[in-house]
Amino acid sequence: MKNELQAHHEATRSESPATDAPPAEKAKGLTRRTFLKVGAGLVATGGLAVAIAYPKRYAILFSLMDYMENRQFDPRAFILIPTQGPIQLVCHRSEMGQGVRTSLPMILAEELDVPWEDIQVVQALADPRYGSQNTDGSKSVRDFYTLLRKAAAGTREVLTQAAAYRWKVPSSECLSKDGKIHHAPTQRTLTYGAVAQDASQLTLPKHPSLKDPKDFKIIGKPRKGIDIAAMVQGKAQYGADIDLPGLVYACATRAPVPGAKIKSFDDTAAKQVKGVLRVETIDALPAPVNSNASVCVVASNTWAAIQGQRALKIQWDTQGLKLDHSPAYRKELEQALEKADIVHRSEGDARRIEAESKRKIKRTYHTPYLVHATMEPLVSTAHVKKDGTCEIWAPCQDPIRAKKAIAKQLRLSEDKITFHITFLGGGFGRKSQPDFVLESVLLSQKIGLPVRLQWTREDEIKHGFYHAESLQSLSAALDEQGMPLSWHHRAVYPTLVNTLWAGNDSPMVFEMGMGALNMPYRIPHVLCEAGRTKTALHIGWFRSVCNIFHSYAVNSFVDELAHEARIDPIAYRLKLLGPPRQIPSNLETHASQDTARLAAVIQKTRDAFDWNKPLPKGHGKGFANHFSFYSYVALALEVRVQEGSVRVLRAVCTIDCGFAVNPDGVRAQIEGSIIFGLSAALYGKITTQDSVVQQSNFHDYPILRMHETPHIEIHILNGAPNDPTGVGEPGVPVVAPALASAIFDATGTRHRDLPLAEKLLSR
Amino acid sequence: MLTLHVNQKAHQVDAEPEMPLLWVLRDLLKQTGTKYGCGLGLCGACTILLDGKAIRSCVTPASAAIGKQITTIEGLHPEGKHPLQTAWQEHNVPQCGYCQPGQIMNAAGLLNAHPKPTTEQIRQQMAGNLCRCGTYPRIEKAILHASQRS
Repeated sequence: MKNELQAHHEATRSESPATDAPPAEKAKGLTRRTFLKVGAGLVATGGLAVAIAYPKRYAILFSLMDYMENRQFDPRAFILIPTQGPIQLVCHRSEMGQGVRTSLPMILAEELDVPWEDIQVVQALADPRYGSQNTDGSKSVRDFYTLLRKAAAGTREVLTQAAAYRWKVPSSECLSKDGKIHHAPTQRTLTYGAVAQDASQLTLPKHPSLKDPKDFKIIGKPRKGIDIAAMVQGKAQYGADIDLPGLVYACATRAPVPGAKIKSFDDTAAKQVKGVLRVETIDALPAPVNSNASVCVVASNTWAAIQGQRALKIQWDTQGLKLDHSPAYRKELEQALEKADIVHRSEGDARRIEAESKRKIKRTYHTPYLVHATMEPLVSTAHVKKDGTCEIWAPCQDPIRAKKAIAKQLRLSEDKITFHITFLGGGFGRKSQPDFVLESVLLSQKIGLPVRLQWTREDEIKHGFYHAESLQSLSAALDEQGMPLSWHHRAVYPTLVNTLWAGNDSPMVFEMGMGALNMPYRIPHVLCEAGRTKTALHIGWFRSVCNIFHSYAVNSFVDELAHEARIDPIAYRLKLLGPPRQIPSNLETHASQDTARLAAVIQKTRDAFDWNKPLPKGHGKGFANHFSFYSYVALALEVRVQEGSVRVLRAVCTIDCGFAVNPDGVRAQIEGSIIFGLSAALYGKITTQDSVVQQSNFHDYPILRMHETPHIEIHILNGAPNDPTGVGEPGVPVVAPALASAIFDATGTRHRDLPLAEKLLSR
Repeated sequence: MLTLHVNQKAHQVDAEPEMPLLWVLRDLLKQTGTKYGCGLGLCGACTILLDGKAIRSCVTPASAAIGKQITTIEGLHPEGKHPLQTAWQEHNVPQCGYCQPGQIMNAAGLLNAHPKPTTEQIRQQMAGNLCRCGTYPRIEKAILHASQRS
């Protein structure tokens, strides 16, 4: 069987290098670990041609990224039915812990009618036919749910037709079940593999009939991660686990500031380190790669490369560069906020109402730069070969973007580049940047050998694509009941689009659309404005992006308004939302919101938390809600504050993600989001001096540890049964404001600057 | 040349005595289940057992392991069915999975010392192992579960 599979793979591989795997794992048991070369669908063994339009639900982040993406989506690329052996379902998105290698195949397996235990999941290579492989924006399930269902349902239909044809019976008498076609009147069955060849000759239906969700056996049922057996045995292959004949190991010392040049360097001591083979320089690459100039030490093992890197003496030239210094940059943001005048939303006349009001309130909120700190530091293995091809193995979130950049840099056509996506040891947006991949490619080109370029933790912290520092002010005029008559939100932070196109000095509409200009409350006069600022640092995508600081400011301000009005903060929010309404979508900016669904997650969380129950002395409770990535989330936290430190005791969170394809996967993502959010809220802070990042490792960039983790309770609402929405990110933005409000509730002190742990200590 | 005993097998390795065990295991012996996370013993991704005790292989020189038994995730159980590995699957612990070999080895060290740890002991012992995905609640349950069963 294995030989037949391989023969098939080789045959299809010659047509195109379509897919490869982190090892294809059997759904259950992990008995074999094979690197299957899988062809582009069923052309050889059963062809698919479903004509499905790509979904047009791009808002918030994606009008921008899609502009850069290919649109050669080919549904045939997703299902491979060999004559014998397990059916292979392709995962075309990068697995970084969010569970796509489980959730996407679940969708295919459901509509294809194959038992979960009988499938293999194979990881796609970087290939335009998969449509978007840019694994970000919490969109793997929400963008591909219907597409994959149709592709699998269409396949099931042609398989049924082929069996009916062979039996010379009407296909209406045939049924698919458990990977087989059954003809009940004559009690005959055929496996999918037996009719796949015939089915490949048939045209796929344009509108295959999809299952009624009440008949789902796989979708909507909790499912364990397909790769966990490999993971707990240390067998899952991450970026640094690929071995190749003749592989050499490298580390790089990068320019401390983007744009700095190598003035001179002394590698005498580095070359004396046992195991060091060569020292090479690599040039900086401009946007959209944004890699710094570097000096690379190539060695026979990683330790020698690290030792060599430490022994390098390098002089950098930073002349003419704008250098940031954190305290000065904060002042710069303050000035920019005062002048913020780029209008993103304006209804009524908020300025006049506020000026004429006797009762008004204004608050300012600050959040610092954050870095991803994925447990797997960046790493990439590349081989630029003498035959004019190039092969890469990397934990990459956006392999198409990286591949395009490689093709441009090496002047190769993209079909000469084979890009394998390994497991990602965390991504959170950092690994969508192609810089670390390009460095390894340039180094391999220079030395003519396969090379693994390993970033140290220090490299990762100091050369990030940071979550932007922000400063925001919110002001409101209040009526006699303490409800806002006007709402004026101003925000200033460096835009992340400079990593794509340099030269922008204010937030884009899609950035402001992540929770600022689309705040859901019903207020007659609304003004939302952005200011101008630039930074020397690279700014990048970071799990839930601008939602983090927008949600922090909006939720905190609402909490302050409620306190001012002497109304319970949850009751105040529900009052402010008003009667249920649809906030219409504007593709330029934000997604449509159903305030009834938002109210539902708020109420569910309130009741599950038992919000009105009195707390012991020294304890406090805090609440936040936020809509992002098309999902609705509410969170209540209970804390205890003692002797300058806070302990988060309990978290109750509700998410309405439309429809949970894998409820246990959703639960895991929300647990993780709360912990990720607590790390940022309590500790996360990157500072600079002369643009050099001051932090370097987990001692000065701490993340939450087990003993600090609260008891977490999660509720899932399925508010739109045919419309699964984002899950990986929407749990993060609610955490910081809920925590700040809980600390206020416990202590009476409101902290408007993050992170919070140091604020408590300094009191 | 150093002689190291890894997962019940003797290996001759051409390593400087000060080379951390992490890199000996990964780059010289090609046992890649043990992960690099921080290089300073702060995150626990590189945790292995040395004579049954959990240590950080990124800050432990190879020379410190001479004459001792090294156990890595690959050698924890011949079929990958150590009670911890089974419990980890039952509780669907891993997300990205990168830190999990280190988590499991640290937990194995805990169970060697305290076969029936309290929740508080688990939380304190496991505080040295970072997980950026936030799988702590499930790790805690899995360890408790494994210890109650074994």
